[in-house]
Amino acid sequence: MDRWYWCDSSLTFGEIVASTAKSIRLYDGDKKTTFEDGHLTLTNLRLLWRHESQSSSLGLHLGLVALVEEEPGGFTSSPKLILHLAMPSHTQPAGPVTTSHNSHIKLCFKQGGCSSFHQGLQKALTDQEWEKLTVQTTPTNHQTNKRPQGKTIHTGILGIERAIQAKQQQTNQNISRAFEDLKNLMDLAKDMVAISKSISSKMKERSGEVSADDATQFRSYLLSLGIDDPVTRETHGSATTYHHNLAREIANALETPVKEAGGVMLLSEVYCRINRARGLQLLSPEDVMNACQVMKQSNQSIHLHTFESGVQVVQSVGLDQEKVMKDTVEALQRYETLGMSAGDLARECGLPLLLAQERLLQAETCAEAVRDESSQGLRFYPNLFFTRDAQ
Amino acid sequence: MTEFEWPWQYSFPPFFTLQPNVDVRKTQLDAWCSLVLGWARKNNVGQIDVTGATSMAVFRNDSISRALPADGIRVVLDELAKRGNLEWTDKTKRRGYLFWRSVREWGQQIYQWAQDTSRINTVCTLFEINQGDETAGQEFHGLDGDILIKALKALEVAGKAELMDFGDNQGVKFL
Repeated sequence: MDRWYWCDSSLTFGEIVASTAKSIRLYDGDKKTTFEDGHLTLTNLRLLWRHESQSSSLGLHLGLVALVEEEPGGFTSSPKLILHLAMPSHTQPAGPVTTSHNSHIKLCFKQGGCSSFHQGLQKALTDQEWEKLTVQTTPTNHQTNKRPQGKTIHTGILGIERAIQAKQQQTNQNISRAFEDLKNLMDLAKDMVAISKSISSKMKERSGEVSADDATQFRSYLLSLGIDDPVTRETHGSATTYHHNLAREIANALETPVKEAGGVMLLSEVYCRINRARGLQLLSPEDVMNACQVMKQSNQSIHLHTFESGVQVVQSVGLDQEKVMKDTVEALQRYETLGMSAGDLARECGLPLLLAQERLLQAETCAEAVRDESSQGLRFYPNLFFTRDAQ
Repeated sequence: MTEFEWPWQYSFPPFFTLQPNVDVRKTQLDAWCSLVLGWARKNNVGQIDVTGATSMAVFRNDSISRALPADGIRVVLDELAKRGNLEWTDKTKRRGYLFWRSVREWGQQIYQWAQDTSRINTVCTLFEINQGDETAGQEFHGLDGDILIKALKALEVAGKAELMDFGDNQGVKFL
C-alpha cells in the first residue's frame, strides 16, 4: 500500500487514458482499506485512484507492477485484481501509507469491469510506455506548480473539458488504429466495385447476352470477390430472356449427346454435362431446370418431360415412343423365365437406373409388361395374360 | 382321383401380384376365378375361411415361392361373390360357401333333369335328387345337401319348384 502516492488528477505529458472503472475499493494486501468507492483510471504510465469528493488522486506507477492476477468474484465477494508490486523508488513522493508489510494490493471491482480492466492493464504493462518517455513524470507530478509546456489549465471546468476532449481524441485514435488493416482492403474493393459496375452496365446494354468469353472473365472476378452476378439476380420467374438464351445454349450443346444416349437423358445428367462444358460459368440446378422448362416454348430440339413418378428427363423432339416401347418389350422377352428388374434393363440397354425403371413402368401402363412383387424385389415380365390364351 | 391340373398362370410369378393396370387386372381376375372354382370342384371344397385362405394350396405356389397376398385374396373372393360363386355366411365376410357352379345354375340343371325325366308336377325327396340311383349320371349327383337346398330355393324364387317338409325328410315339387 505504500507504493501509492498523492498526486493531482491531471495527466502528465505523454500520458494517455487507457480505461476507467468505477466503484473501486483498494486493498492493502488482503485487508480492506478505507479507500473505497473510487474512480480508477488506467493510463499508459500509471494507475490513478480518486474519490469523487476529493480532487487529488492516488497514483501508482505502472513500472512497479510485477504481476497481475485476476480473482473472480463469488456470491459474497466482487471480482478483484491482485497487483504484485516491486519496491518503490526512493524518489517517489509521499503516499497515504509510509510502510506496508504487503507487497501486493488488490483492486476490488464492486460494479464489475474487472476483466476488461485487466486486459487494459496487461496491455499497458507490455507497452511499458514509461520507459520510452524521457520526462520523469513521477517526481514532476508531485510539484503541482510545474506545468507542461503551454499554459494549459487542469482544474475546474476547463480542466474537465480538456479531459473530455483528450478522451475523444483517444477514442478516435483507437478506432482508426483498429481499422487500419481494413483500409487497404477497402481501397482494393473500391476499384473492383467500379469495374464491376461498368461491366454490368455494358452487359445490360447488350440485353443480357450469355456469351462465353467476356462473361467468363467477368464471372471469375465476381466469384473471387463473392459479389452476386447482376445478370442472374435480375431474373424473376421462369420466362425471361436469360432462361430463353440459356435454353438455346443447352439445346445446342447437348443435342448430340442426348441423341447418342438414345434420345432420353436425365435432368441431373444434363446439369452435370452443361456445367462441365461451360467450365467457369457454373449454373445453378434451378437455372438449368427453369431453362429446360422454357425449351418447349422456344421450340428447341430437345425438351423437358416429367414422368408420373416425378422423374424429369430431357428428350429429343423426334423421339419415337413406339420404338422405345418395342425395345423394352424385346428386352423383357429375353428375360422371360426369371423376369427383368430395372437393374437388368439398365445393364442390358446401357441406361441409367432411373430411366430403366421409368421405361418398365411405362410398359406396364401400356399393358405390355406385368409386374411381379416379391421379397426379392420388383421384376417385370412380358404380358402373357394377353398374349397367351388364358385357360 | 387325378391330380388337379394347374393352369399355366399358376407357374407365372406375376399371377400372384395384383396388377395395377386395370385391363390386365380384369384378365388376371378371370383366370383366378376359374382357377379357384376348378380347384374347389376337384377337391370338393365347399367353404372358404378368409383367415386360413393364405395357406390354401390354390393361393400359393411354393415351387416358384409365390403366394397371393391377403388383399389379393380378398379381391378374388369379392369377385367370386359378385359372380354368384361365393356366398358369405355372415356380414363380416370371414367365411363363405364356394359354389363352383352357381346356385342358380344348379337349380337350372336340376329342373332340366326334372323335365327330361318328366317329373314335373311330382314330388321328389332331396335324397332322390342328389343320392338316388336315377341321378347317378348327373352332375349334381353327390351335391352337398345345403347347396342342393339353396339351388331348389332359387328355383322356388323363380316359381319353378316348391319345397316341402315331410318330417325328417325333405322334398320338392317341380312345377
